[in-house]
Amino acid sequence: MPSINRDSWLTFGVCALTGVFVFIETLGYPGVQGQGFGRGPGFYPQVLAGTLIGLGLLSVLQGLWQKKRASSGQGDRPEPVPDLTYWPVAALMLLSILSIMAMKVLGFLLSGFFLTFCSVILIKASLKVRHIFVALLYSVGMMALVYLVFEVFVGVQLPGSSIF
Amino acid sequence: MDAFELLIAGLPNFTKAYSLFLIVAGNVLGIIFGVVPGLTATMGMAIFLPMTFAMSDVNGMLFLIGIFVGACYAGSISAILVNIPGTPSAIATGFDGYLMAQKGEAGRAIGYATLASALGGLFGVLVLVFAAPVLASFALEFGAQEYTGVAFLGISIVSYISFGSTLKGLIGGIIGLLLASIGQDVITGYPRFAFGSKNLEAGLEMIPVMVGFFGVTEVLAKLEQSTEIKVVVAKIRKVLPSFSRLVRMSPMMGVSSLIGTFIGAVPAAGGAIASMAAYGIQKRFSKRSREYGTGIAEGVVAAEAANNAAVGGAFVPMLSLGIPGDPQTAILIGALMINGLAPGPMLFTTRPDLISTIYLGNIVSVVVFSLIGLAGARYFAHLIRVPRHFLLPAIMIFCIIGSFAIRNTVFDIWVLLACGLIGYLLQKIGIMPAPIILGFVLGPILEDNFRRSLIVSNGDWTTFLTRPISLALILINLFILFGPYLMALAGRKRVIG
Repeated sequence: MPSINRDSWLTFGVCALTGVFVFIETLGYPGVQGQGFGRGPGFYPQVLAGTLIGLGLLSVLQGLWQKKRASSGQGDRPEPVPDLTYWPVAALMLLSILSIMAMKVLGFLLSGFFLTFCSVILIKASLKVRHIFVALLYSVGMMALVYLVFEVFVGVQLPGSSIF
Repeated sequence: MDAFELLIAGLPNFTKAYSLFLIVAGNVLGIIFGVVPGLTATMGMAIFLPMTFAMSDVNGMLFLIGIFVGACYAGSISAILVNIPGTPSAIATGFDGYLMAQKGEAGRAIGYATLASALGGLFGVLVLVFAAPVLASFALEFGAQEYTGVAFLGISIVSYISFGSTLKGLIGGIIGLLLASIGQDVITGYPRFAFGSKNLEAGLEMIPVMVGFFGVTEVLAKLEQSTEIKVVVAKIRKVLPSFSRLVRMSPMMGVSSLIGTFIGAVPAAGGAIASMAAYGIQKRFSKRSREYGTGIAEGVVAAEAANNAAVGGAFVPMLSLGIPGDPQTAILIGALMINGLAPGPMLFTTRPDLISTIYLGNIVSVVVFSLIGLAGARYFAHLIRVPRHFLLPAIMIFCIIGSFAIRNTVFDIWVLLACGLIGYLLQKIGIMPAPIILGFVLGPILEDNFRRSLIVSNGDWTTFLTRPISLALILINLFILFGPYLMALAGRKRVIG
């Protein structure tokens, strides 16, 4: 059962890294600042960090125990791994980052249009003219809806463009 | 003010057309989010929370309650029609509902689901009306030590119940607490984890964090599934069930509603567990026990009455203790906090009109979704077919606007993306978003009370053990977290012996 083991180690890694980071960061915080201030601003995060590291260690122990049970035939059968592709996730994150960076220059409506249009094409995974046309129409409609609902109805001032 | 006076204190709010419009709009949106598989009540509430900024606290609550109640009901429509529960609380509905649809009784199944949901929902509110003030007056006796125990109880229960392992749930809760500690220290005002950024110094806003963990994480998780599920929607004909059969089923509806309300009131338990438990119990004790799972209306009624009754139950800890019963009530607490209100027992004396509005909002929502459900189920069924290449980009855009709208700053959109990505990666190792969000919401309550307890007692940790209620809460927390392990260990030793 390598997956159980890997998950436990990863969980421990997340807990240990976060916990150590919190400890290092809070070491520089001032201590007691006078009567009624308790143990200073670093105390509570340190308690949480310590707990997190402890739970990470428990996760490794739990993983080892499950592995032992599995090897002796007592554990649960591993579930079938579904068919997953990760590139659309990475692509959408990249598109989102680009459109947020472009927001200051292009404004929300244009950068939002860019994000919607590219996301529709990305998820549909098709470059047929008909699909591109539908994606264009959908993106324009979406931005019109956003403008009407948020800017006109709710009164949210969406980020404007610095060049238009 | 007695329970009845409290119930009617907010009646004037329901004479305004705009308030009623918001309940209907919330219900319609909730039904859309409930019907479409992959969208949830939590996501809908998180995405539309920023729209409430332009509303009064009362109207904002009505709108969000509409989404919550509508989505809770509508999850059953897709469970019945295509056997894909629109929300986790509708899983048990599909056991019999889908088989009824296969027999050509899709309309009937939706009719039973709608009426059982309505009755369950009303029952839950009734219990809320009478139980919440009692619990709230008890909670007025609580000090910082007790509130520390109650806040931690929310995290330990969600850890115990959350999908995956208790340990991972607890880790998620602690991560949420750490995220909540970013920004100025509640006691000394010292900026923590700010790294010189004025935005971080102000702390993380609740909306981008919630929308990131619930919305963006879900979008990313849906994106990695390489194929779209093709659905064939069953035809809907007669929706209204026979009255006499409905009357015959009313005792079992009552029992399921009672189970649902009780489980819903347990912090973090929620509708999914309530409906599964009610279905299981009804199946176990019914005269038609063997027919459950073959497509009988009783199965649909058992599950639906319970999951909608759980909504009223979930409001009990939220209103009386200020502790979220589930992720949806965590969002409602967020909405109250944005309006400068502190949820908890004091709200009963300071804002009885708002408490009443929440009660009545639930009741009106039940009426609204019943009418919409009976009249429009066949139209909402078409939403199941909305392709994900239209759905996911729309959710992403709404998540971005929602995060931006709170402070009109792009920084919050970065927080949204970061939380979405962190939530997605943590989900890969079994740490789910719900405990993280509960930790984040409970963080300020827990830290404030925990540190105040230690300050008052001059750093004496036994202060948590010397007060009876605090001690009881600690024991309950320990039992929830370690009880199952100890019992499993004891059982194993017995087997070996």
